[in-house]
Amino acid sequence: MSAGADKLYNSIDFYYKEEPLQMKILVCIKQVADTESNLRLNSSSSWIVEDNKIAYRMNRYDEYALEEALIIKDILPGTAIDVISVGPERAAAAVKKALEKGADNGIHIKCGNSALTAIETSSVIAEYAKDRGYDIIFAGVMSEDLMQSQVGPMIASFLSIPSAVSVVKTELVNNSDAISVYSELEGGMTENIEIKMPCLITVQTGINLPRYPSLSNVMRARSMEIVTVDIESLKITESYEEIVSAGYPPASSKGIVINGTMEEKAEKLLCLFHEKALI
Amino acid sequence: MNKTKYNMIAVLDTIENKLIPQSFELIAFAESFTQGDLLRTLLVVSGSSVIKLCESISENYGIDTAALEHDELYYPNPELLSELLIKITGEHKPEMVMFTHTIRNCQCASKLSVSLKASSATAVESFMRDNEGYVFQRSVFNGKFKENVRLKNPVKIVTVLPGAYTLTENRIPRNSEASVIQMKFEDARLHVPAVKHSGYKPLSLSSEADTGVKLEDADVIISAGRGIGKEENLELIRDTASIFQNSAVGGSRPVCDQRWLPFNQQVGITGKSVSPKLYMACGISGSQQHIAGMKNSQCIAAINKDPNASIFSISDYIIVEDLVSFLPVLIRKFREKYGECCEISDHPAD
Repeated sequence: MSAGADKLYNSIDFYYKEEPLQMKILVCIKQVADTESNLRLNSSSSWIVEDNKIAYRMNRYDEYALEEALIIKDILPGTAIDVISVGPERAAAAVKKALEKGADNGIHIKCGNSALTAIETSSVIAEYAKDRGYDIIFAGVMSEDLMQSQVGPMIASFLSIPSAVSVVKTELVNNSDAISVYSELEGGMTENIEIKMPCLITVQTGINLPRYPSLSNVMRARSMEIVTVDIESLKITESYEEIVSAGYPPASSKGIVINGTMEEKAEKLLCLFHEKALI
Repeated sequence: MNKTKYNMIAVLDTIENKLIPQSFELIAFAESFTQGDLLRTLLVVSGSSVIKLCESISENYGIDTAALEHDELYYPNPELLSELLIKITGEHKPEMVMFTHTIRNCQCASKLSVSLKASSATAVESFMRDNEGYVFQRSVFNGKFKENVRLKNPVKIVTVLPGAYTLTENRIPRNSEASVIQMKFEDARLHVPAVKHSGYKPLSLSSEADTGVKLEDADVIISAGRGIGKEENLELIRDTASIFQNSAVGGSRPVCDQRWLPFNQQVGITGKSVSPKLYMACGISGSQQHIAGMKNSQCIAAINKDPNASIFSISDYIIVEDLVSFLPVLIRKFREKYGECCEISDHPAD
């Protein structure tokens, strides 16, 4: 088959000519602490302090993953989007946000531990997703807090379905169970891959422009119930890793902190540039 | 096949049968991990035709090397590679399988981890040995913190962050008898169950065409991060760039994701790697992915309103200010002091 020759859907432009497909999509989202908020380590340096000084929001990569699913639903209105998040009580807010953006069902797998390892998170999501007939599972390429890039491919591995990672463009191929995806490699290279559904796709930022919730969807989400599942009720693979401790990166040893008023700082900096013959 | 049971497997993956530049750093990591004893380390080079490459690696480094060949490994194919590696690790039962940290190798590590019930950690920067085993260090929260992770299971898998280990130039080969093994997976019998995953098929590879600005050629790069707040503030970055000769404007990933700058002006692992005379990071917090693309700059100046921004840890000059207020002052001061001797009158003072 000539991939991409007969496109049904594309991140940017699309057309379809056959019967519209209906898809069943699962989007995996994580609620993370905003790294710009006041993050600090607890007194035993085991993990960050989780208090009301920290702002939580949906992992940025997952916003793009969700948007990619919503774009498919815009084109194929029969599509159903489930959103799933594993996390403590507060994670329900991220699921709610996804409903406000237009997802159809929200699932919150509730657990006490806010720093589950990739194998734990992926095993429970796979446990939930198996036998539910998802055509595509979307996830962000990584989480901003643990930065492992593992949960997506691990879910695929547990479910024995193929996965493509760091995807910057997807095209559904007409009359086919294949999707043409473009996976971003390091150094500005892109690889075109054909992947067959059911499959898992991890999404890189920049693939689309995530939408803001519309008023009608916000109203709709108000009456929607989030399905809460206790993590204890699912089969979880016990972690193969253990977080021993956390710490601050070593303080800068070589840098000069330029002090003074803003004007003084500007002058000093220009002076340093001048000494180095940069200006 | 020889009879050595290898306890360390270092996977050097290729793109179009060429090693990626960071591959050799893995050898440095392996050397550090084994305290220099690489007799039971196997370098596995994957590709569609890599036997010649393996011979030269084995000769140069004195380490046993295996050519893991399959027609479908010409382009990166982490799905197939991981299935083949599962087979190899099943034979050798190594303590450790290591990769260069790339996104596709994270995919391999994840698949191996699930199939082999192996502990894994990605983007590791260093390790420590204690009486309970090994603890690996990696960055979390966009570089704000480091975490120490213990890999508990018998088989351990890591992806090693580029730049964390460097191979010394004049390394003397330790084993002049190092051998080269050819593992060719084309026989249908050997065709691993994975090829049930013909559900995954790499088709082609492309590089983004360069247009206009050549970041790599600029002496000075003024880079914008999320801290610029809105697209209009890019003007401040451009004005700042105009005070330098041979300068260019770059950006961090979030700025390009917003389409405020084209992707070919993105600095970082997923964009350009640059090393100009001066790199000025404006409103860039300093994610690992960004830092990896600019840390070799000769001089780094950073402006950020967050005094704990991780970009400061690699900066020569640190200015804690909001760039939106600071840059206009910088530009004005420049004009007052050096304005006459330079031709930069295109941009009127704010």
